[in-house]
Amino acid sequence: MAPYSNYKYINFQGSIHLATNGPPVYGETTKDGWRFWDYHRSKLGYIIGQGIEVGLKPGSKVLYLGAANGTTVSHVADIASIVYAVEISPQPMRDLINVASSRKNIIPLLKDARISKTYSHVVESNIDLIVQDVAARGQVKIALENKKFLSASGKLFLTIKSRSENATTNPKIIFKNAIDELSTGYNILETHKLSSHHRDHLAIIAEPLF
Amino acid sequence: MVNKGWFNELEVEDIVTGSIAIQEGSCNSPQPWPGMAIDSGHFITIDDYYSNLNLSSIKAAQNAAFDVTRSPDKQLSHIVRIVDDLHRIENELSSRLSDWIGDYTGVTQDMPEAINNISKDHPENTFYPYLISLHDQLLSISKEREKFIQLLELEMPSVAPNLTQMAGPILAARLISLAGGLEKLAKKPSGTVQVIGAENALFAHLRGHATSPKHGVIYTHEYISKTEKSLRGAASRTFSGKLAIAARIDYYSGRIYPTLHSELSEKIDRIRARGRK
Repeated sequence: MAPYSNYKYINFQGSIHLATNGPPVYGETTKDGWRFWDYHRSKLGYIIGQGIEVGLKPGSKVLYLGAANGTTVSHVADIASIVYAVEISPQPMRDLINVASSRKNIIPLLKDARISKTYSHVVESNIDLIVQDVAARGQVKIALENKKFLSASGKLFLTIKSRSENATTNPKIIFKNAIDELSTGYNILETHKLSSHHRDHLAIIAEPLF
Repeated sequence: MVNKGWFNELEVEDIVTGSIAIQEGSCNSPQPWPGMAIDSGHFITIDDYYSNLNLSSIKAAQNAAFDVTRSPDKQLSHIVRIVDDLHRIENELSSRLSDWIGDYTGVTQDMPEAINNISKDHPENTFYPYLISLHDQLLSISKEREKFIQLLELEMPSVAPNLTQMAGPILAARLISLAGGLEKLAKKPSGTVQVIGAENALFAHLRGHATSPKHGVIYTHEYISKTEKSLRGAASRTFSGKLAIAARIDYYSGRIYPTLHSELSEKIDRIRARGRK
């Protein structure tokens, strides 16, 4: 279960847990330089921890939308060659800047992921993986807006938070609508419920349709 | 349109030019920038490219974040929160102190009398110096809060003149703070302004558990709180309608519109008159 040298599963206090190699960031548990990826704080970590392939490999070029404080971004940067980290809010950006100062392969961008032209002059084409974790309305629109960055063999890892779309509609309906809308630009490969760690969230893995 | 990357105007070892281009530039479609930057001679190696981009993007993000967090709106939000925090702390400590004194003396009294009487009537109370000291702290917290309110009164007219005249400096600052800035407040419909600060009640209503809230923080204004209960809904709608207009004038023009304020007070008078029939 340890496909790459940049991340592996280690036994810690009786349980097997995913870890990446790099300088610590958020007070996470470390063992011999290996940082445990906290599943409660990271939807991507939880999914990769289940052994699900999302297309994150050494050398990957990643566009991360909704980078927040950079906790998940830091783990992604331990594995990938370069991570473009887009975050709209200035408060978490301060933490993200600290993470980017300790990891040369993170490019922090204080930009609105809904308006891709404001960072298309920085983010390169042929991205291998888009990770999108934006807790705001119109999450699928953002995924479609950013499709142009992906290479033909690239992948999208999208988490939909139903409460962000509409607090009162049944999550099942929101997820179904999201998948229908996303299918106009992406081929959906897998969906996973994140209910055990992140309530009312759905993870979608997809590839772009060109 | 020619696609230009963030590095096009870049000089050697330059972070500032790149950071400005990252902040202000744009482009319709992404390109293989690293390769292009090397082909054009801006960088020798890929590592050079990414290391300059890392430093330039950090500088750009820092500057852009400061533009937001140092804006007058953000300073106001902090002041409003400090006023609220001081008020809460004052109330908590004050009620703790009077509870204690009341338990000892057996009489319920308000603060200045309670603290004065305990020294007179209960000279045996060994905690007296501590009570006095805590009471002094309360007084200074109260003075501190007063100072911040004065600061709001000083600052608000230049940030949002019409909103301040209409709602008073504290409510005006609170509305801006809760909306997330004057721009956001100016772009909200009056029905939303009406229930700002009543989000719990609003979502309970949307889920179907409750009736719709009549008012949020605008309740603190006398146009609502001093209007008869059955007419408060009407007063809230009228008041929030004018507040939304005031916020828009403040954001887009900044000039004082005297008629707006006289119209509102006439309308409120008319609503209140309905109750007196």
